[in-house]
Amino acid sequence: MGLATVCAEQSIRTNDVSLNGIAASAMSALKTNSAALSVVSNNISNLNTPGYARRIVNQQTLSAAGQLMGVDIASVQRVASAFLTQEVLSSGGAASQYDTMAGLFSQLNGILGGPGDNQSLATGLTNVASAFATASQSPTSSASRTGVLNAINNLAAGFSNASNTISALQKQIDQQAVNSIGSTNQLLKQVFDLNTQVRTANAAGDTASALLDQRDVALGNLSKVMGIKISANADGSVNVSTTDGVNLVSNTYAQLSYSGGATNGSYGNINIQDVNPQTGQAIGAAVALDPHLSGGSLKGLIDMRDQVLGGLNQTLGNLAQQTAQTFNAAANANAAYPPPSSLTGRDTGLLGTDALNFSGKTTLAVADSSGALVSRIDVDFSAGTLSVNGGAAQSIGGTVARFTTALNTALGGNGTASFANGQLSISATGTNGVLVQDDASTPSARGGAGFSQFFGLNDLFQSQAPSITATGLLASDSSGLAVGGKIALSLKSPDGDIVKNVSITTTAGQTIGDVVNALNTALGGAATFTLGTDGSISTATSALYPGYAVNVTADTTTRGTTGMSFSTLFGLGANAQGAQAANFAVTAKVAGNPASIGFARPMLTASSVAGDTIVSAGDNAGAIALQNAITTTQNFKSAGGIAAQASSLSDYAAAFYQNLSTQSNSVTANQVTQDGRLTEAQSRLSSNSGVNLDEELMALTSYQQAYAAGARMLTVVDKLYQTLLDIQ
Amino acid sequence: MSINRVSTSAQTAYLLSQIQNAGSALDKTQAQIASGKNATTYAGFGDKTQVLTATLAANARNGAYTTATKLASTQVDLQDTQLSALSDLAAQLKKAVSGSVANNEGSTLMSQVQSIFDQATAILNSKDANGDYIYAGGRTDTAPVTVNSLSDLVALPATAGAFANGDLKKSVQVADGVTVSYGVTASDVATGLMQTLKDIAAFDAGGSGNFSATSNLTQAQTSYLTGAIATTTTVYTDLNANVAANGFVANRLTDANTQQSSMDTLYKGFASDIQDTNMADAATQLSLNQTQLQAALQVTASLNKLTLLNYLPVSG
Repeated sequence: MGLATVCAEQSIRTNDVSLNGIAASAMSALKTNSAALSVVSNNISNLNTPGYARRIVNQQTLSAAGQLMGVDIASVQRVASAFLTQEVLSSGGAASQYDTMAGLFSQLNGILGGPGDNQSLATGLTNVASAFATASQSPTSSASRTGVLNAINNLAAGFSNASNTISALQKQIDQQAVNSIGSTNQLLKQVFDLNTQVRTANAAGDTASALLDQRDVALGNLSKVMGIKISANADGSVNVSTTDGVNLVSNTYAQLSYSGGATNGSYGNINIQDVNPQTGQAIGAAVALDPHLSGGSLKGLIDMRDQVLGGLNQTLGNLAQQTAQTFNAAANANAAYPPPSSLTGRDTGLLGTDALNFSGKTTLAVADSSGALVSRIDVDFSAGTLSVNGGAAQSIGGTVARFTTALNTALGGNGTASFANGQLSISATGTNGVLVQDDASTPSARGGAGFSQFFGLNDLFQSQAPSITATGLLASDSSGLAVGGKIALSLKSPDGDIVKNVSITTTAGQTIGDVVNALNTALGGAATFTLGTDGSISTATSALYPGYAVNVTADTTTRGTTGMSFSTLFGLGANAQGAQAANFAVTAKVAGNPASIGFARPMLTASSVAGDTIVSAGDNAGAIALQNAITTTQNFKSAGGIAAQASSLSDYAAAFYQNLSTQSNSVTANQVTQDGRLTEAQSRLSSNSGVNLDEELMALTSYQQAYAAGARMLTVVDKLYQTLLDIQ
Repeated sequence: MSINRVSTSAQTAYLLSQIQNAGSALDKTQAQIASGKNATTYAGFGDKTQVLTATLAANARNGAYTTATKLASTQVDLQDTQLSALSDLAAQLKKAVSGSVANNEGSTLMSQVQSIFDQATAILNSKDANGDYIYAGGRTDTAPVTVNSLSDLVALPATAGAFANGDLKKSVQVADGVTVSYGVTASDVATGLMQTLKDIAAFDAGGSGNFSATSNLTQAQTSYLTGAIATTTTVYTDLNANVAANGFVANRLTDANTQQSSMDTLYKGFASDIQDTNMADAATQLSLNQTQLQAALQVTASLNKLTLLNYLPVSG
């Protein structure tokens, strides 16, 4: 380099450098690096703080009038990624939903036990068949009757326990949902408050405020409760909504309300409503949150409560109803030996004034204690007559009460028949007994059930709701309902939204058809009830409401003195199916007197006369029929996710457990998937935003050294001053 | 996005979750080995839950058929013994009648007839362990033979009047949809025997009768007894046929029992394949899981040692 060039460069640089300038520049290095060290220190101390996003220091050259004046901190940047944060929130919601469900399934699986413990309903049914098989080989032994009673008691307990377990779990889950409402409301308010503070901090230039970390934690917690979507605003605040856009936090914030509890096994909605932050007053109308939930523990709780457990409850109810019907049908075709002195039926919900509506033929017989025929009454419902011991035909009248009177007259001195509170009762006098045998070719039937079965004269099982829902009532029959009774219905979507709440009040002179029409009118075409020829009511929702469920939320109607409401009588509403398994039990008369279980089949023929043996002690045909009840094919209707099918009780029970297993495993699989997604998202976010100790140590070292070098500069300046001052 | 930096706490948390996963897998295998079952919940058997539950139920049902069939077999065996005894009585009767004819001597005939009647009645009115009359058909609470003495029998207008049994036979379900009817009634097996006893006693009480009064048989007596030989032979043959028929039923029940045993083996094997732990597999898995847990712990320990803290000098 030539001398001229060097001089030229020196002339550029040496304009106005002062020792003070050097000292100031070194001082800025000290300030900057110590500030940077404080950021590093914060990073290190927040190494394990959840939701903490690392801060990095952006330095800039300090200059004045184009002159370098040292260094300054341009900004402390909070390393966050909106995309990754949203991904963590979204996967966190889904993971939390399936975590919640998997936890509850684990609880349910634990309670229901396993195939190895021989406590399943399938085993319970088989044990009943076993007991009947053993009893069939010694039908007179009291031990075999006790064995049968034990087996049917265990089966009944199996149903009611499973039903209780499911209902209790539903209640527990509902309570969990109620409990999480309060904390969710706090989170929503917290996010709103933090938004306000962030906006203020942002206006003051603090873009890396600790408030952001706090808000992220709050949002993370909120996303575990329900799926949320976040959009950032320029002022640093965020708008939060459900994934389908229902406002949670914006200029206002939303609050949830839910008090929990079921009516008739049907649960209500969680409501959401905006709140004016200034006044604390609600804005607008509350809407149901349920259909807007996607992911989150709240979604998990509601799905588990309504879909999974609700479905299992319905399947269980379906199995219970079919079990009761099958065993009761077989038991009512049997006769006990010696014939019981009286037969008392179930509460049919019928009134004395109801039309008889039976067709076909049946025979009621009075037999002595050795099974010899005393007197027979052949009833021909189709012809409307009865005949005593083959005598002349007499009218039986058109109503239940008139028939009972005719029967009572026909029994004469041999017995009595009475009908009260929906129950038919037939007794024989003295040591004689009563038995009923349907005609082999034209059996009696009302709504598909035989005379004895319809009135439940020899029922084995009963539950909270009558298992026979084909009532045999016709549209033209009087409703028999007390005036002023109220039936309330709700229409619930598959995702839990109650879209309609309607009710009707019974008026004077209504027929069954009138009540059905009134309900249909109230529903306004969204769903339609149809009264079948067998007196059962079927429900269909319109094309606009596919998969919606019509639930009965209240029913204060009663049929006379029977205490039976309209909806109980017909098993009305989607929520009625579950009631079939509730309080499932062996009928009191059988539980109290196992001798009343019929192991024999009555042997009346058209030519049986007084003195003929019509039921005998050693007859085991009835026991074998009961033994076969579990393997004969039944028509199951669709319930709780299991399609309508023709299957045996035993196989349907196995399908019930398969359904449980499939749902449980599907939830577990989803849990694994969503947990994996969450782990991945968290790992990406933390790779971006999390603190790495090695990195911080490197930064620490480099800032420390820069600080040391800056300090050295001051020493040098000091020495320069000394040198300068030393010039004498 | 390639990960070029990791967060220290996330790394620690990740390692911890890996240790937990490995520990949980190990725990599951240990439980399988300890319990001998693949799972203890319905959900644990996944898509095999239905078939397993149905198989266990079918096996229990098969067990019920087995129990009932054995009970029926016991009753049929008892009847077999008793029917053989009854058949022996018929043989004795035949021998007594033909012996009287051959020896031309009838003094002991009626005492033998009386004894045969008493023994036959005792057999026909016998009861089983439950106190039920075995040969009463459905009317198990009524003695099937109503006459107590030979003279009562003779006094009856017809032999049928001596029987009070029902017609109903017991049946037993031996498999799904297969029912075997078994048992015999007093009137079925013993009408011929009783008729013959009645006839002989009636002849004895008649004008040409009273076998024990004379040392040698009269012409009329010889002629009657000669005719009776053929009748007693028929009675004996018929009773033997009844014993044989009962034997067939006994065989059917035995066959059914054998069938049930093989079904039991089949069902149990099938259920066991699903339900029970394959110990060889489980033991291998246990060892793999142990190694996995050890590896996870090892990696954590190694990574925890890796920190710049150990290498950067504390300046000062």
